[in-house]
Amino acid sequence: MKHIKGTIALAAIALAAAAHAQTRSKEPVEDYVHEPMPPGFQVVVAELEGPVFADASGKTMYTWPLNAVRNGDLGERKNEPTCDDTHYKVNTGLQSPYPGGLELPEVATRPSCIDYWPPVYAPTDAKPVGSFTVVKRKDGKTQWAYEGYALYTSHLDQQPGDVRGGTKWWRKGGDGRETGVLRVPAGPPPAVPPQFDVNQIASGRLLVTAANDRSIYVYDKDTATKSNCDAACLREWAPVLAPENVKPQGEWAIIQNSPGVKQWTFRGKPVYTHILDSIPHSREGSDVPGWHNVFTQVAPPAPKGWTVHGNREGDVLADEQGRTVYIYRCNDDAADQLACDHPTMPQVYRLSVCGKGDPALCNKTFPYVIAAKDAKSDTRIWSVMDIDPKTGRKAAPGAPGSLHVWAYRDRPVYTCARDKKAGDIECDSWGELFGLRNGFKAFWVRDDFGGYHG
Amino acid sequence: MRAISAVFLACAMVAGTAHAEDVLKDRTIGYVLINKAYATWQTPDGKKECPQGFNHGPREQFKELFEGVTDKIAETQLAYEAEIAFPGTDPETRTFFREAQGPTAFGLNLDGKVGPNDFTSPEGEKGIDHQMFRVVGCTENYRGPDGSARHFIESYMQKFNYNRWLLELTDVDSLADDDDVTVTIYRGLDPLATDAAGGFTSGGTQRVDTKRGKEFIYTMKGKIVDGVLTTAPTDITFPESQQRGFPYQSVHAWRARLKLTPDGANGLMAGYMDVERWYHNLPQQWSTHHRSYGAEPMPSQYRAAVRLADGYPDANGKNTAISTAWEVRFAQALIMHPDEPKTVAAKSAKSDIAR
Repeated sequence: MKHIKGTIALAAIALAAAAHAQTRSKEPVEDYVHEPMPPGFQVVVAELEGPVFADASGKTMYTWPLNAVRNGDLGERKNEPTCDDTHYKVNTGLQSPYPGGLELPEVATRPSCIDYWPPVYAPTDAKPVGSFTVVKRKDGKTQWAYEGYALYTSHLDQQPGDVRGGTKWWRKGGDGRETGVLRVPAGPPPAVPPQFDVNQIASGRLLVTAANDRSIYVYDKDTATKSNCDAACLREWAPVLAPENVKPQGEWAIIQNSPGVKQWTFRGKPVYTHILDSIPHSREGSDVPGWHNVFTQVAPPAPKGWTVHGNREGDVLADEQGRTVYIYRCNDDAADQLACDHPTMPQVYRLSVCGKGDPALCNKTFPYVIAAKDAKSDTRIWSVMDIDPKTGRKAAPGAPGSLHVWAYRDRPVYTCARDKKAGDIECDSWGELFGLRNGFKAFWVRDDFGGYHG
Repeated sequence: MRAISAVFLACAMVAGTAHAEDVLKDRTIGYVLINKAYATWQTPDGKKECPQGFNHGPREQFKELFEGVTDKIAETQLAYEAEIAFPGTDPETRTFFREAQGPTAFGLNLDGKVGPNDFTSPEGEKGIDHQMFRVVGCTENYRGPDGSARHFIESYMQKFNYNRWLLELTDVDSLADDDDVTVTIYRGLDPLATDAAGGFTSGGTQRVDTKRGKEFIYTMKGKIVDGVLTTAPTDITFPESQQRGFPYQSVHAWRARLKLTPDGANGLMAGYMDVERWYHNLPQQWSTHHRSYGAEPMPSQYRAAVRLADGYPDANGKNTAISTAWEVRFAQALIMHPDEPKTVAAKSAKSDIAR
């Protein structure tokens, strides 16, 4: 069993990919089930989220499935779109313990649901296609739906492949009781046998078992046709056996190590679970030399020079100076559950928990991660932007007094003044609902204990 | 009246009975923590220790602070959350905090003195240092047997391996009397062993976490007198998480006084808890919503803890730590170090409550 590096310093967060030393352009992307789609629809393989449905212009589509908040349910039921042009003025009171009827921030200019989430309208004569159906809105218009849930695009997405409106990370869309009811990118199922599934984590699209989310691993000593995991090895590694009647398909094949005993292979490697893994979607097995987690698609690398550091729970991403990086998360408590985590959105939420309403204090307690003037990102998921530090709002490039900062999913990232050494997470779970609803979460790359990241 | 929780008084130590010679191998015995709660002395109706009643929680304080004053989120909900994140120490004007009163508390005499603010234990021991009791004693979240935070802190300690706490005694000649034993605290990696009825039992195995748990390893001296282990005061940190954030507690001069048996150990542990770390642990592992279960007013608690802090003054003479005591129970366990053979760990229980 491999041991123990207190601090892991890697140039990228894509740990599993490092062993193969492939350039990003050669990294495989996730194969998916090719479903019939309405005219003009397409599948775009996004950098982090993998395959997502997009409209003719390449804009990612999202659903807003019904989810439990603390004191009730919000979101949409199947075939019942509710996101409309109402300009909500007060909160619902569904986010316990606070009452409803409180005036929302910047209420005079607060957008409506469809300002942020334009519906994907369907022609009046549109007919259902596969899992895509046509639902009627309250205003009489028709809207496309996927598996019954109405489809929307996000005002934040600018280019094909942008998935800035929501993410499959964080418990496959989020636990509404803590995060609020989030929008979820819609996409085709991954092309994996029924025994398998794919989990979204920071490092990519992790292959797991469908039954219980146990991580899938491959072994360097194996070949496409033979497992070299011997009797001693088999005490720790369990081959994922294929049913008798299955056939090879796509990237999946079958080998027989013993007559009648079939084992799945993926991309030319027999696949296993690690018996000693203690939690679902674990990375523990990858500590054993020669063994690797399997990703259908690896996440893009973090900015150059950034590192990963271990701590008492797992691994976190750190900036060039080795300071743990934090993500700010926010969702309001109005009936349309609009996000408040973007620099074009009201900053009063963030300012309350990072500086008691004082931007200057915020900039000291949760400093932005400053980017070099000439910093560039090769990916869409990481970017640089200009921020007005007095407001927290996005600034014009090069605007006087603005800060040039790193952003993830088009949102600035931060460090925490309380952190003193690499791997520190003094500000993890800071703010409302442990940082999930209006607060800060460390950028977790790996979790060895099954923490609750929302 | 003694009110140490029913768990600690009513339960038999653990299932099964072992003999000292069976478990004391190589002069070593290991234990794993199975119960832990603030040691809160309480009367049935609370009138003795809480003559002013129990504390108001976030819902009640919200009304006291904002009802009829403003109805804007920024000036109410967000102002309250800002106060939680950055609590003040100025006196409260619209809210009122109820400290536990009276001369009686569980705990240990940490400084070896009998001072004017000290308690007397129910057994009559004077000089008990436990100012945290004044902070949490009249907050329903922490009162036994079913205070919500009390329940869930313990529940997550039991089911979330991040919190696994091991105690290993080495150089032990006898569990009855030995004036020089070595005590080491580790974090374990494995679920607690349970019997067929789901009760925690002795005899389980625990692997030592030498990878991510290094910061939780501490070694100290101890002595056993009449079957009671007393450890030397040592500064420690220990993990305490309800599976949301991953914080820890930092305790100065921590020590334990435990009745030892071959099957387990029970008693008290105590020390001076770092106030800042303790306070930020509150919202980092449970939210305002959860704190409302048991009417826990976090900003008011902070003010009280700062006011009542009684140890480890900073350069300005301001105390930074507060005397605290926990009631604890351990089950005997076989502690496995990394160079020993591995066992197959059971899968961690998924958190399925208190969300």
